[in-house]
Amino acid sequence: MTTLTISNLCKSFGDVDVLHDINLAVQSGEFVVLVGPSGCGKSTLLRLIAGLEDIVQGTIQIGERVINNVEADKRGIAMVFQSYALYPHMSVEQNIGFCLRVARQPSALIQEKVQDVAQTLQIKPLLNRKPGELSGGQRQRVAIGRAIVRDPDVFLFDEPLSNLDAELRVQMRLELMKLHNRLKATMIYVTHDQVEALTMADKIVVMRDGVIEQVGTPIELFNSPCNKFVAGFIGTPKMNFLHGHITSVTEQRLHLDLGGGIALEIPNRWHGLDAAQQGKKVCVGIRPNEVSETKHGLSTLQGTISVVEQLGRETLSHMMLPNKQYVSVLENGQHFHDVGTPWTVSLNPEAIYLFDEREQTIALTKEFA
Amino acid sequence: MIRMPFKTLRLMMYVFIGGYCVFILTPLSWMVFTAFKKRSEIFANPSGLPSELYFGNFERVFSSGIGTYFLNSLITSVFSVTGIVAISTLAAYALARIPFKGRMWVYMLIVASYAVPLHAVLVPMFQLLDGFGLLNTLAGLILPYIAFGIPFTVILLYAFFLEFPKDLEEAAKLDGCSQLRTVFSIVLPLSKPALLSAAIFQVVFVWNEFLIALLILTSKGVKTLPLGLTSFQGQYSSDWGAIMAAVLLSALPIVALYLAMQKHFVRSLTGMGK
Repeated sequence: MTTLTISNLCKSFGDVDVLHDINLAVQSGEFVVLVGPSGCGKSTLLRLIAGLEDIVQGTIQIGERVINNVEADKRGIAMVFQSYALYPHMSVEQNIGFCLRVARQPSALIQEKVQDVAQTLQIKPLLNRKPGELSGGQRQRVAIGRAIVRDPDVFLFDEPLSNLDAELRVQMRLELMKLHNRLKATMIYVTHDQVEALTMADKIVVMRDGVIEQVGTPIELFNSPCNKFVAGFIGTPKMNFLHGHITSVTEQRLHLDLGGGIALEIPNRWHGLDAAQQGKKVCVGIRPNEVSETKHGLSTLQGTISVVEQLGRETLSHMMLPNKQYVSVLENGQHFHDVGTPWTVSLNPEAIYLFDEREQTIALTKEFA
Repeated sequence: MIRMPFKTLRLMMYVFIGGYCVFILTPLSWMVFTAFKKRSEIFANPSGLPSELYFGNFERVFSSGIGTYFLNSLITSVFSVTGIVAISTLAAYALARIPFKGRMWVYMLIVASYAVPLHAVLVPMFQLLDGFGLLNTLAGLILPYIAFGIPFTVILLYAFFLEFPKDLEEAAKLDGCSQLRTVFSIVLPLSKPALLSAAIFQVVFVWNEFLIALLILTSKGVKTLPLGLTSFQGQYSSDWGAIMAAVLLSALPIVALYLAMQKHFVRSLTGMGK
């Protein structure tokens, strides 16, 4: 069982800083998902752990051992690549056993280990085939087999499901979770798909522009995002954001001007929001499923329905406010709203987030936290 | 813009390709027919099919020592092409994958050396080989062939290695391979089409090369086929049947190689070996 500790890690390519002061602790047996938009540095972080990039500043430890200068194959890690990176000229059996052959293991042992892995992943009938003769899902299994056979301390996955179709992706996601439960190994998984992150992770690391924005369990990130970026990145459909400024504050109420003549009145649940904050710019965040036609009396918005998406079990409607901002509304069941008609919706006051000018989440008062 | 009907365009293309084939194949078929004709028939019916298959021309060619020329060409080709491909592969891989100071300058120098015409360096090359005592030896021929073959082959393989999937090399690194082992276990087996293309190009060049051979080799025992053919012309100035038979024999290995490796040859011309 192995922990992985990253301390003050920085990485740049030429003049471009890719990672800034990364600090992260991965507990033994944890399934950690690095998530973030393209170019946020998550794959670079994974490659630094794998030993495919040089570490110039900061340290990476596996257990008690600093691995900065340890060769990639001596770090006790195995990596599954986005492209699978199976050797096309070798059979499945040779692909899985290649690292053992390089390590000059006895051929009987190689044979035994390869058979064990093939049994685990149910790929025994494929052992004599070449990668070119396999489907995407089968290749994925072989790539995972090649990682398992090394019996690593830490598994690294670099967007391993991104080349699969939607159905197979769901299936492989389940298989990976089962595998993690069975092996109890430490796994670090990179994806830009927040659904994958939410469903698979014990812990999610949200990254943006080479910085870790927030680390937490999926539910923590969903319920308590530390800033607007995390709030917008985690959760589907995306959280609504309404920009405006505070016009007046009382202990009970907060009055906001969203521009275009729209005034929003919401219960004041936030720490430090008093009359002194009047005139400050804020951003209201609310998830689409917390906006509904139900009248709460407070926090209502009026606009025009511009697009309606039928999702089967749910209906996602997009309403345009007079100030040209959009609000998405997710309703259970099938609703057939007419595009272009006026609509009044209410925000669930208990589900409203407030972000300050620096896009940081404003903390709730103890009473509501 | 005037748009030509597709059928008309196709017809025109067939006519052009057909005409080009006739242009190329007429002298070749003439050579084959003449090789199988008796001397009297060559002049009586120069462009027709032979009335019977006559092998006397070939007998005279074999009895006059073409075997030695053939063997010399074979040795020269095998050693030259092996040397060219081996050196160029490692050089191209290093240029494409191993970062070092001045890497692009080295590559540019190699590209520039490809532009140096053979004739410009004939005299210094002759003096150099003379200084090393390599005149009239096959080694004296093989070394310049390797030197002249490397630039083109490096350019061809460099382009291939640049696009070689890095993931495979990184996977090999994680599997415990050294850089050299990665090259030999992963990169080279997957570069077969590019290596074959490079080899075929060089075989054709070396097998047919005449000028350097003429300069370096003077004694009969070390002459290669193209050079040997000229001596046939002197000896059989009126024996066109024997000359054509000798030319046919010298062309056969290259034609056979081309037919066997046609796919790779065409690929190398159209897509740099990919």
